[in-house]
Amino acid sequence: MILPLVLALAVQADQATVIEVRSMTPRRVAVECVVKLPELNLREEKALAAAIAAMEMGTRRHSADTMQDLLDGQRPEITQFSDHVRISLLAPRDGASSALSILFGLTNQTGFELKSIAALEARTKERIGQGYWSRLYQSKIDGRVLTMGEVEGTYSKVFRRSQMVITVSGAPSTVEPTQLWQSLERNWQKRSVLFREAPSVAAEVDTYGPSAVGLKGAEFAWGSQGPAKLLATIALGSGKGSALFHSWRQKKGWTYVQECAWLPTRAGFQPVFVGITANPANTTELEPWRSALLEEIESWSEEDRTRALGFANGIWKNGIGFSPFLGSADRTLTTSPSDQAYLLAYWFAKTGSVFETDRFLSLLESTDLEALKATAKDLVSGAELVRIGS
Amino acid sequence: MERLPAADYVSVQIWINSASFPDRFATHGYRHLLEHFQAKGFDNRLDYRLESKGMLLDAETTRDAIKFGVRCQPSQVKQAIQAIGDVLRPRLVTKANIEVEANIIREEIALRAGASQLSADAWLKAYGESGLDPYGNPDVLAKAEPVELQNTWVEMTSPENLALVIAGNVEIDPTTELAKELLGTRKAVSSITVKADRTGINDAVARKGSAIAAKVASFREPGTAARIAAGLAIANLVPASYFQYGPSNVPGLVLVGSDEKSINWVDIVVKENPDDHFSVAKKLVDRWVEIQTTDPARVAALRGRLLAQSPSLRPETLLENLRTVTVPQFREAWKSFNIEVRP
Repeated sequence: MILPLVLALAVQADQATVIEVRSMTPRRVAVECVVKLPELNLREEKALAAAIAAMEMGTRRHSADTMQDLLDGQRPEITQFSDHVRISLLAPRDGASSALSILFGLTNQTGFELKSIAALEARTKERIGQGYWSRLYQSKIDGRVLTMGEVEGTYSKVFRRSQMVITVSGAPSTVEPTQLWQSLERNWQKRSVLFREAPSVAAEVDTYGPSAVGLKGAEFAWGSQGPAKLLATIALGSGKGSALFHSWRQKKGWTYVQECAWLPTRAGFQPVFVGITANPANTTELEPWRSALLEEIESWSEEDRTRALGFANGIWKNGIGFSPFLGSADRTLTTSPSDQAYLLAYWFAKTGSVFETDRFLSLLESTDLEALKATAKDLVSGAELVRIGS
Repeated sequence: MERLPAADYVSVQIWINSASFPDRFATHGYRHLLEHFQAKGFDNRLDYRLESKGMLLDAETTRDAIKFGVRCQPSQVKQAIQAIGDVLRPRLVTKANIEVEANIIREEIALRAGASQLSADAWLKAYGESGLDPYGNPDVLAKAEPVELQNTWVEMTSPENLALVIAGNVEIDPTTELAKELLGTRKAVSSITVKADRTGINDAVARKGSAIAAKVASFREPGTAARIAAGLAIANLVPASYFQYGPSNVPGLVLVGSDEKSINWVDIVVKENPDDHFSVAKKLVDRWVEIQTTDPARVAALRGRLLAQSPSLRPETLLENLRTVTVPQFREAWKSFNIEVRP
């Protein structure tokens, strides 16, 4: 499965970048928007969660029910990451115009129609506590009550045209998404009135139940080291032929769930390797979890490199899943039309270049066995070993 | 065999009917344990071989069947069918292997998602022992004997219990020939034939989240389609909720739930007017059907789980019923959500 052909890419100063692509599916049009985040402090992160919770409840332009109706029963999905916000809309084939109008309503000209402050509080709490990966690596939450000004200020700080990359995938050839968006953008307001009432949001997150052991690697930008680190991550943590599965599950019997991901950060990415166990005795000592992986790496042969490359091909060409990149707080990226459109927008926002599957995979192939082992050893040796949850 | 010309991958699945060996308290989870062992392949390296070629094996044990599936490209179908042949070959495991794998299943059960736990509770509440969840009881599994497991596998995988389904962009005739060549020589063994059914009422308490369920008859009944529509509409009223239904020819459940414990599902069902939600339900059903009928893995799963029960069962009956749900059927179905599972 190869990402769809990019038909047009419109980049202009002070405007959102729009990428148009040919569809992989004839039935739906996927509109994906990535909003790059400025630096946010803890309170602003929480204020953004409150703003997103309110956006899902409807905007002045469209109520929640109208959005769902226009999107043929779907709701907009909005995910907050450390470095960006993902807005995901899946509309009927002839619905590109409606989807872009909804996107515009969510990101500007808003003025949220709040049904109740209590509902917003509940939604914010639920949103902050939601998601497998965010629960595992939840940073500390500021428990103090937010003010309307904080939420409004954060919303205005985050949703700026110049920080947005939009992919429209699957629109019929008669529709011109770039022009549609640009005509909406002409009504972009520098500042919107947001809330009718002051939200009062106090949220603390429950810790994740079972014990998890995590190896948190150092953050890094994609650059020249990226491909080797990615192949090493896959060799270590993706699939049942991986070191994590072979060692932590099959040899040691410590865990049923073990996986890896690249958490997005403002600096780039942070590789993490996680093993979750229900047996507290397994996490009394953490260092053996690292040693077990180092032992595995020592035993790697050309077969392990071939498996990692095969798995990478499977992820990006055959759609087998288990990508190290996150698609939401709950799951890693798939090759669904929406996720493919999102990857195009995200990769452009993150690296300034268009994601091309073949070129991307050929970069991974340039890592030989010795480089793979050395990179994996560095990743594991230099990682912070942490106990997560109870 | 289902040809999906627009699909970008092929799903090859084998479904093994479990009517001859349903979960009971004394053997609770044997099928799940066998699934774990057989998925490793004859040399414990099946995953490794498939992943090296960009293919993926997945396995699942449901109340009605065990499934193994391989996701591949059209040019890899032969290797995928060979992999299925590999997982079907009986393996003799040791007592030590059983102890290790029972512990891994213990971990799996402890870490299962809220939706899965809640679903198990609802099934137990609705159907008692015949609704036992397929994960199993690790204490029972640890006592299983290797030969007992091997014999069970041989009986379960007798040809009349198997349904091989291939969905994707494949040519039907040559692929059928290939499947016959690779798997068609299997010999029948005498099989225990116990008709799968579910009866009885037990009680259960949810340990995570909250849910509400409706009992359904066979997937072929119009009332089942109406309950699917109602379930989707009820789930739509609660953010981040989930919906579960696995088509079967025997009675089952449509369940909606949430990880939130505080949701009063009974209140929602009683207070909301179903007529207000019929229109959105139709859209949600269309989307559900679209997903089930375009993605090769889902297409193969929908066909496989029914074919394994009987070669005459076809999902088209359900899909047609879903398209023609009426308002009165929908109202009736809405009211049937009365099995509440909460702490």
